[in-house]
Amino acid sequence: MLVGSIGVVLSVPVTTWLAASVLTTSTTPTHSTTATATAIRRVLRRRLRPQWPPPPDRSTPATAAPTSNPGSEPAPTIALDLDQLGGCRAIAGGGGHPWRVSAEAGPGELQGALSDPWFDEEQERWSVPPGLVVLVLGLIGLFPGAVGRYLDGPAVATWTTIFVAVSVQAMPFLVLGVLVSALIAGFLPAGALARRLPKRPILSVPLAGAAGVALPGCECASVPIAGRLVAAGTPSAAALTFLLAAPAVNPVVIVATAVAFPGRPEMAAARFAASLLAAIAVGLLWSRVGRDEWLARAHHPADTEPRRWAVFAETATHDFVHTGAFLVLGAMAAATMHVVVPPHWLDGLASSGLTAYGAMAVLAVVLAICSEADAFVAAGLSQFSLRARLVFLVVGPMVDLKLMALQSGTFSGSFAARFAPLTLACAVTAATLVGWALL
Amino acid sequence: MGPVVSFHAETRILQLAVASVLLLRLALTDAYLLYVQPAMRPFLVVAGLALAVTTATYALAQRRHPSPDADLDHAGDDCDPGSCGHANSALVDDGHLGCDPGDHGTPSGERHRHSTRIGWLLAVPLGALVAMPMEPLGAFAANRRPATLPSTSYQEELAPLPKPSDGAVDMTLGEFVTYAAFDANRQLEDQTVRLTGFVVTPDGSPDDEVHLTRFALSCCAADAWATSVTLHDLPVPVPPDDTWITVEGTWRPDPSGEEPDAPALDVAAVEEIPTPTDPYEA
Repeated sequence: MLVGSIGVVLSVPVTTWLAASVLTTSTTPTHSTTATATAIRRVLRRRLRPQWPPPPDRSTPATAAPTSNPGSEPAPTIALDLDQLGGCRAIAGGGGHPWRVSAEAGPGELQGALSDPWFDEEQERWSVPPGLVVLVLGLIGLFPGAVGRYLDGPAVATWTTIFVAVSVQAMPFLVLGVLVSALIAGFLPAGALARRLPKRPILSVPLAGAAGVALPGCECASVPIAGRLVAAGTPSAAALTFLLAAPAVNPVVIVATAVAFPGRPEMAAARFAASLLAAIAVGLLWSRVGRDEWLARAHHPADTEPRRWAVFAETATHDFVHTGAFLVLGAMAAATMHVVVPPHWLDGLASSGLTAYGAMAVLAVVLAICSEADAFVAAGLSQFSLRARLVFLVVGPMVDLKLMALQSGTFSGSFAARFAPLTLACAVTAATLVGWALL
Repeated sequence: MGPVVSFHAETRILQLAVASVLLLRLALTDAYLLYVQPAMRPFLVVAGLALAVTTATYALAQRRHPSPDADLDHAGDDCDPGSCGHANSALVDDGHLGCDPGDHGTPSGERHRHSTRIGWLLAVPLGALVAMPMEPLGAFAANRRPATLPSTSYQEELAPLPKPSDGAVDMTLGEFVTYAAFDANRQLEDQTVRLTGFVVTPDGSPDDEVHLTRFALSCCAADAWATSVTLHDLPVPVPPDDTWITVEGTWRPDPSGEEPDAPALDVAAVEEIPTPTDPYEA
């Protein structure tokens, strides 16, 4: 009982924290305490933005060498094993170029190199931004009855049931996705996929979208796989198209849609077409405006790395722990929404056309249902038109609370903050157009 | 001599063990039925076993080639900088960053700073299961999602009702509501039926309105939808909300000809039952 109450009370600030971290996390560190940390930071920046000119050299004794010329061939990636930054080690990957980064860091001095946005290195304690505190207190202040009302028994029991259900339902698919992604990390040579794909996005993106047919399962499986594909050198636009298309166009989902709407096979066809269209649109747009530094890429092991199974195990366990934690966060947020949102909001919105589409999109984001099953949920929402329900079916596997949490954990918060609105816009547009044409 | 397996790896193994225990515990008992479809059992078992095997592989690989501890993970703990420095100084060859492409046990260049701590979130579902009584969705959830009739597009010619056993036809609530609303042959008229569900006193309705409700799942408890029947002429006092009962009665057709979302049932007999293992309807 107590744990459940704590869970409910914590889930509001946790949800707020998640939203705040999505909007504020960046991949560049904010504190540095020594010149060495500055040098390391510069090396990191160079790794994350290989095309950009390096910032002017302001440091003194320790410098990172050699400096790269912008416009020459992209610098080989350096991977700093941060497990060992205390002892200052660096390993090189993807080409075997040895980087010599000379520095006089002693153990413990490099702690400033990477910072957690909430952890203040100088004082070595957690600092919560005052804005977040004001936000949480303000929410509690605006709805004073809300916290008390939701702490009683049935609400907490329902929250727990929904939270455990979402977590447990998604975990087998997450395991599948993590195992496949670990196979990619352990056994796929770096750049192999990139060499086979056409170079121009206009060709590679639709191909990646069509490849989504091959991966049946929940959207939880596609996120770690896409993350590892990006790490293995696949162009990010193609990998992201695959990430969006796979949960929505695979045969299991299409068959489920056909079964859920008997006598209306055009619904399944419309879902397939609209999802593919939306995924390709996002991929092409991303190839134009997306920046690779938003994708904090995992390191892909060098081709000389022996012990493939050790790499497999290490990658699988790391990915599952990291992604599963974000899944749990997403499940907590979804359970909170289920318990807190009053149901009569839906009925008023069902009537008029445009708000119905908006309501369906919002509902799809908030409900975080797996793509195999959302067809049956949509079939049950009979007060909405077929076109509005198509919006629900197209948006659901592409953008929802669970997915945003997973993406922010696998790539970065700034990625999720940009990717989610882009995907939402493309999904709603594609669903509206296809719905108007086919339904 | 340090620990056989690094702190970092130990933490990860523990977190994964917790996740496998969660999956296997739910799948091997019948508790998973409260949360997901019955068909999910083999998936949960396979996932739990796959996790356990992968964790064991990882643990073995770590024992053979342990990855050294991350000093960063201890920042903020009460750690004596002298001892930390000493432990790691073996890795520093005369103060220079060395470059060793191949001799690493764990090729990982990402931000590990908070990845061990955040993994403890995996323990929250198991903690919730241990700390709270496991309950199916009940009256609270039913009140938040009012029942709606299944859409007419589902319906074709409805099959004949099954034969009665013990004087009443056993039906699920979903079947009853479908037949009441859409059966052109009106087979339910004057037919005693037996239904199982839990009691709900709907919010915002007259005090004497009592519903018999049951949820059905398509994916997991998050998308469960409720089917309800309104009970009339109860021979016993109204049981409290969330009591599971089996009722026998006959359908009371709506005089207007259009069935409401919760068709009416004239109750002849009520029997309280223990909460079923699988609380959701097929």
